Amino acid sequence: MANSEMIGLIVITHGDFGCQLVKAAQLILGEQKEVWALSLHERDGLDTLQGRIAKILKEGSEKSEGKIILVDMFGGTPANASLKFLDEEKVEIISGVNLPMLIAGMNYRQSLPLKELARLIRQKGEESILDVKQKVLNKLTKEKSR
Amino acid sequence: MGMVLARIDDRLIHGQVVENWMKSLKVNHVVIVNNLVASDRMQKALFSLAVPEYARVSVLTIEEAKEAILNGQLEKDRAMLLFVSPQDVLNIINMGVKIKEVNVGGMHYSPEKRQILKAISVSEQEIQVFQELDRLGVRLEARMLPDDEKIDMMEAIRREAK
Repeated sequence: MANSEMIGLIVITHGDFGCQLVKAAQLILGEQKEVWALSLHERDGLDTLQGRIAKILKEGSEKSEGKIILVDMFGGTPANASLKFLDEEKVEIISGVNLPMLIAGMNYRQSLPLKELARLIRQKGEESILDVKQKVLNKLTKEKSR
Repeated sequence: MGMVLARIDDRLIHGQVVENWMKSLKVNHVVIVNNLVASDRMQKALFSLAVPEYARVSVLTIEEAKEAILNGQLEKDRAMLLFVSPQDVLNIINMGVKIKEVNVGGMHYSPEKRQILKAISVSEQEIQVFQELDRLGVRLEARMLPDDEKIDMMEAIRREAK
């Protein structure tokens, strides 16, 4: 019952990247409800993928707070397939999905409304890409000079 | 508030700790207690960058951690103590620090160890240290994530390490 109030997350990617990404996130946060992963394989066409997305979007949609589609790459088939749902009011679409983005979506989807959650996911994604070597070395230099 | 969790996890600060434990216990100060890590500048820098901005990280020797706790320096924080090994926990308790319950989160496998739970492997010597902690009345619960079921560590040892 609480599930219908939870924002759903649909991860759509080339190959099984999305399935494994969801598994990785659950390793950190524990098992999650209202999360779907759709894999695009060689045999799948645009319309098969769109059919699968439409079916998930319909699940509990009348009570749902909405769903966020997370795709791997803007311009790829998962993203192109999602464009069909551009006009749906309770659907947000974000590209470039990575682990910090998915974790943020899972962590905050019961406390933020749909549009704000989508903004947070995008922000977390942008913040998550770092030059690790530079960041750590900078920190070390700063501590030395203190 | 002081110490909200004491945890043994030989990976120290990692995804499960930052994204799950810190959030669910509202931890704002992570205290790593280990003599080796306390002298490793690279690890210290990395760990201090790994937590969200609202929290801070201290990497202390056992002696320093004892001083900080007994002098009440953690009292205003919601602190999470992270230990690499049960031996460090035993050492700090023997120095007079009171720890009633310890969460055993992760001890990685190596050939001389026996795996007793999914994320926990122990050597003969570590079993003895756990037995000593048990004798001292410390409750030992094995759990990777906050929402996982608490497993009695001593029972798991008795079951698997016969």
